[in-house]
Amino acid sequence: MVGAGGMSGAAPSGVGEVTGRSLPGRVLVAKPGLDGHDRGARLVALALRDAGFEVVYTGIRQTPQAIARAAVQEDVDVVGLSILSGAHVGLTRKVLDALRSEGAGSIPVIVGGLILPPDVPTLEAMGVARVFPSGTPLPEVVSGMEELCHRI
Amino acid sequence: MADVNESALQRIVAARQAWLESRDFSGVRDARTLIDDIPLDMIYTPADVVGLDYLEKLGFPGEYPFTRGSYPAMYRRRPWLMNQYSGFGAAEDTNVRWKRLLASGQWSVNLAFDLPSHLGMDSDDPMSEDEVGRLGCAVDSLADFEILFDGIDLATTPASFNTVGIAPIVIAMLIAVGEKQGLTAEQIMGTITNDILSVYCSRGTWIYPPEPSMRLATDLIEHACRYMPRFNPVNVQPVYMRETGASTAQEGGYGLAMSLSYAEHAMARGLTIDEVAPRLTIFFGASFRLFEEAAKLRAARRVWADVIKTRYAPQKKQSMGLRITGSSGGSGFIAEEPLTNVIRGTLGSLALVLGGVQGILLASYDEAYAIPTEAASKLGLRTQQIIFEESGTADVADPLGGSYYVEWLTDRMEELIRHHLAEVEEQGGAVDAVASGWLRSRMDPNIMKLQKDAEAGILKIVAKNAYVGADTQAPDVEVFQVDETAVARQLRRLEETRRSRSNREVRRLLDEIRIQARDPGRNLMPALIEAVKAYATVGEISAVFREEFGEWSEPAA
Repeated sequence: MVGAGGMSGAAPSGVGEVTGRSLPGRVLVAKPGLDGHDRGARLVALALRDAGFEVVYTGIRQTPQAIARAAVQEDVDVVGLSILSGAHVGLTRKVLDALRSEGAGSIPVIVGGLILPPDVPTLEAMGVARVFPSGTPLPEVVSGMEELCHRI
Repeated sequence: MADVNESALQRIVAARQAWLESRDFSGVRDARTLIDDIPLDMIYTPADVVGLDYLEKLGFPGEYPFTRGSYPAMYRRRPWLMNQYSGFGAAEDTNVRWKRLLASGQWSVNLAFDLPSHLGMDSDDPMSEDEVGRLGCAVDSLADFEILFDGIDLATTPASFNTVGIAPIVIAMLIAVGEKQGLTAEQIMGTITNDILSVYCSRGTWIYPPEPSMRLATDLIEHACRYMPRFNPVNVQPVYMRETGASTAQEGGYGLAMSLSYAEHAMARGLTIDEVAPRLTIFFGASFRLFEEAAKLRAARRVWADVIKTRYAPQKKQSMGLRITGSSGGSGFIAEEPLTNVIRGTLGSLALVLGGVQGILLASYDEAYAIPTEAASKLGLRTQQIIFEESGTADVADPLGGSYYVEWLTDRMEELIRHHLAEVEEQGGAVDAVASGWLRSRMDPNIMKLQKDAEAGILKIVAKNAYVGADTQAPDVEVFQVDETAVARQLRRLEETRRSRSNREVRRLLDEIRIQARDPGRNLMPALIEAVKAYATVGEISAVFREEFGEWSEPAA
């Protein structure tokens, strides 16, 4: 498994990592479970970096516990989960539980990926701050993240 | 073309110029190919293909350079292999679906595995929770294969498997189940993906680091080249890279680079190019842009034929003929109005047929939502049957050949494919280019460009960002639901298998695999066949490999 903290702060060449207090926020982009389709996660990570966010991308196949630990260690403002296998309800519940056990239950969690419309209220009822099904325009994801980061 | 004499050509050039100057083209929209951004003229004429030597660059189907097709009679001899990806729940569920597809005229079966199986985890592994039987069929041991292939004759029904990390174990099980049908390995037909290089760049179903993974892949390729003449032991998957943002030409160049890498690894085992090359197949994706896709496929065959001829001097003609399968759909399908995907799938399939492929796996129109329902899966098959029987496309080999535009575009694609292939080789070949993360980094910018072009409306997708109506948001497809009883059935079967087999024998055979894994000079296939016959599970065997080979970590992104 990829160590969740192992890629912290790595910015793709050419993008240029922004540092300092004027940052819009610090985001953990994570892929829980076994699904390896990371096009969406990488796309969102790139878009957020372009918008000035500091982004930590965990890589694929992370356990809920590893994601929660990374969220605490990296002191992020938001945790973004990307799930395309269809197992989003079970996996999201586990990540929320793991965050609470790490004492980080207040970090807002957003979920993106192949999410069917009926599952959106289910996820929101569990405590997910926003759901961005695949196909959501990037500016919408970026502005949603900005709102969540500034709420803290 | 080359037979147009010079004065006639000059007249064409002059007339074309006069036509362009005499008509008003101001304000017409710009046209370019997808991602590769090749600018397109208003029209193509003999002047655009003036240097094209027919016999050198086109020739005849089944002949060097194979631009016009890999087989002489093409679809007059037989249709392309029409495949629908299917597999879900437990083995008995998939077996029922297969039998219905076979009754509808499909003549092969193609197994989709669930994620735990792909990753070498048994259904009772804690990491497998929520995923058993979800994206495909759960496969833990030979007991599952016995049910999967119940009533399906492996001597007459090609069996295809889309999996990588566990590929040698899967084929060991196939050989074992074939034996139970009274067949030798020689008689078994089919194809397995077994392309680890592509999944390091996309899809992410890798388990071990590149070097031991290539050893496992090559063990299977070598075994099949020697003992399974009717089985295709590797189907290189540039389609995955396409889904991750590779351009049309990158897909071609990177796919050929990977194919060459497998050929080289197999030749290092003492096989000749003529024993290896005819056994390789490649699987390309197709967008819905007919001419670009057909040009890519024609150009890929031409480049492959030239590279194999120049580098390895094969004795057999067929070593230079690239066998191509393809698929359409994937991320190009939309969730907003799923029925529009039926039309997209038709165009994508048509592009592949115009490009002369040997097989098509058409995504079902509901794939943007979930794994296909039976009705959607059947419609995918019907789409292909209609193209074959009713469109006339299959009557003449390479029907686009000779089109000024398509020949010009094929030449452009050839240049770009050669360029991308050379870039990978400058990185030390496909294995190094993948392991370093270089290959993946070439595709990331394209994903962003595609997304931004779609959001800006430059790239038009009907019912998603163009012609969106008030009712476009409400999907009315029937969505496939995972059967929770399948998970329970699978767990029960695994438990029964572990209880009824000789665990002492399984331990001995797993130890044997461990010893042989430490010796890269040994081909692991015989030991794997013995172990699966004793009902060692996919997870148990993979655990030995995990301990011996380690697991791979992605380069930082």
